[in-house]
Amino acid sequence: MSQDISEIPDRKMAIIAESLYLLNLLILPGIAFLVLVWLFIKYDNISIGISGCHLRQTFSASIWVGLLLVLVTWVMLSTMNHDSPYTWMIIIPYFVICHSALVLLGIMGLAKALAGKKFHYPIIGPSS
Amino acid sequence: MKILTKPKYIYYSSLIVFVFLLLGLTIHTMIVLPQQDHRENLTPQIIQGKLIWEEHNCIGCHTLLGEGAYFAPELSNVYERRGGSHGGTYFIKAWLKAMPTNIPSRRQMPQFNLTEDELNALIAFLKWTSEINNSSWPPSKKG
Amino acid sequence: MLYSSQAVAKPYFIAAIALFAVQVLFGLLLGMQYIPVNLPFISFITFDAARLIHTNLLIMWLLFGFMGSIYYIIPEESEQELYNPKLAIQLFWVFLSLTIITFLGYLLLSYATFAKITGNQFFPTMGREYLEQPTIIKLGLFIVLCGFSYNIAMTVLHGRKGMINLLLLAGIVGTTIIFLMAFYNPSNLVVAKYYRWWLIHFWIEGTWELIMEAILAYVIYKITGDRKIVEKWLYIIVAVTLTTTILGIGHHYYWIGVSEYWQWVGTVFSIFEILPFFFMVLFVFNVVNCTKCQYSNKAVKLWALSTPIMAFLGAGVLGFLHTLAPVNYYSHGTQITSAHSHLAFYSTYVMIVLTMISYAMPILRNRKIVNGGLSQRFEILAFWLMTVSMFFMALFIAIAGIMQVYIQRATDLALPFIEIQNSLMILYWLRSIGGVVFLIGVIIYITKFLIAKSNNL
Repeated sequence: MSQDISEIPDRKMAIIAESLYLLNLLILPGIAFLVLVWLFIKYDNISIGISGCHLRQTFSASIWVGLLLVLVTWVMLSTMNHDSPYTWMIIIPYFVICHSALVLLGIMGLAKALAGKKFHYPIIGPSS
Repeated sequence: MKILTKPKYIYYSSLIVFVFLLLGLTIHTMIVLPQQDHRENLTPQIIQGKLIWEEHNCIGCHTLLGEGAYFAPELSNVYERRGGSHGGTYFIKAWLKAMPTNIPSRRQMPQFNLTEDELNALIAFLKWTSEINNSSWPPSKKG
Repeated sequence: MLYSSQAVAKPYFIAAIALFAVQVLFGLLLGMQYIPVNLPFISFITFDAARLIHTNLLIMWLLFGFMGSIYYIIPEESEQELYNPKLAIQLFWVFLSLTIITFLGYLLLSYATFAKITGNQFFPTMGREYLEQPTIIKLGLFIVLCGFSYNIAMTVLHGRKGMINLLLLAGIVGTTIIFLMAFYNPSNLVVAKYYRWWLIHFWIEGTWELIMEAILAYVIYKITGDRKIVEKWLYIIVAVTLTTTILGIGHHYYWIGVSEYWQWVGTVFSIFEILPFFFMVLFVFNVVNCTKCQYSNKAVKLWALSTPIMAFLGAGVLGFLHTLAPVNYYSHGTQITSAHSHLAFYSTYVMIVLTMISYAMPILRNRKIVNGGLSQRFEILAFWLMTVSMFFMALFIAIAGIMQVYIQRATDLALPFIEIQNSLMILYWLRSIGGVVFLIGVIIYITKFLIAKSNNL
């Protein structure tokens, strides 16, 4: 069975794309994203194959990651009163829930990429 | 190389390495511990106090060094919080005797009917606990 | 059922579910004591007694669940009958009586009286968190664990040796040996706390985690039918667990008075303690994905796929959050810990036992699974009620914890513990509502077994 999977063309690229998405979330924020952008531009991102699918999905999802985790948190931090406990009661759970949901989506994407299948990020991924 | 990828060798080697590391750290910890816990001050009274603490299930509501239930205040620093050498003993004793307060809509502590000796032992135990050098936790005097 | 001796699992599962219901009921009482409403049915029991029942019954019924699961899995994996099914049934009754005696002791006697009757002063082991059982009960529990390990070991050693049953054997033998630490309670508090964690940590983050991983692998194997790939993943997951968990114990040693280097050891290894859960999610979604399986029991699939996700959130993320020493300095011993332990216990151990019950019970009762049948719909509804309400309960408690830390510890104007509790009241109310929904979920879950009879077409 594992031989069938490894024969799927471009499976490697799909795995790399999903791994970069997770790395961006977990240990190398920013750097992994830049690598992903470079891959997205340099390699095929239009085809209907799995590498195109995973590159498009992770690229779009990573931009959402930036918006949801960096921009929204920054806006909240800069507009809310730091001396009120309610600020932290909102920001910390927001960040944690958002971050872990995005990580879980990334793990599912990686699981599908490992299995040589396509994956569609709900809401934050392009529809095709 | 093939031998290294066999599960049982990976398991055995990681188990052995980490168990030995744990044992080594434990031995070192136990050697330097007397400087941290001030065991030279441990008296039979304090040991009796620990038994009283355990037999009345104090961790069923309180925490001690942060471990226990979160229904009532942290008690590892209660001796200092209630005045330390300036009346800590007196305050805690009076407090334990006044329970339950029966103030409406406030959590109630039961009356344990401890004897004078038992109260002294329990407070001696709490005083000894407050002197443990534990990286200045809790962060605030309030617990 | 391939082997008739697998039937010994059934009483264990029934006891587990019954004790689970009692445990949740007392949990709800505890939650309500946080809100000062003096209703007689809430305040008939003191907080500490209700908590004793809540936490100790949890440990007992999870052990019942593990034992049932292991008795079910082992004959099938070893390809032979259980070594001594009679012993398994005898041990069941011994264990059940121990549990009921403990429960009644907590419910009817004051803890000090219970300690006196059972002679705690001669060999003091009581009154430490999770180890509140009387010494003599602990001894009985140890004998039960020994008999259980013996029975399983003899079966495994005489039969086919695979990854799953060897792991289960290692898990229960480890559990038994580690339980010996329960009898060591030195008079120096720091030393006592240091070694108490050898028991609690190596059970909950060590051997129990191995058992959980083996049960999960077994159920996934049953769903997909592909043993090779399941064992490959299990190999990675177990390797990661073993390498991270042993020194991960350091995260319990930050503030109990031992050397400060534990803050570094604990922080570094605890960061990686999330990895087993990461790989578990990857595993189930990778494997269940690759097969074109048409497994008939939808509820099992739901349980098995959700367990790693919830464990990742509850044990992984919530644990990671306050495991870093600088964060833990503020969060240690607050409601944040409570949030983590609720979600972690539910997602890792409660859910895996319920997954196994969901898989094995219909087979043990000779029921035919009907997808969309009433019993299946009840189970799936119960799953959602319990999981969602537990998620929100943990969220509300965590938010209460953040507020508690902020007012009590992080600012210069630190307020006393009791003053703060009033400002958390709304969250305690919300948490209690979560508890009510959870209890409804448990009731529906039990109803599922009762209606299964009339719905076996």
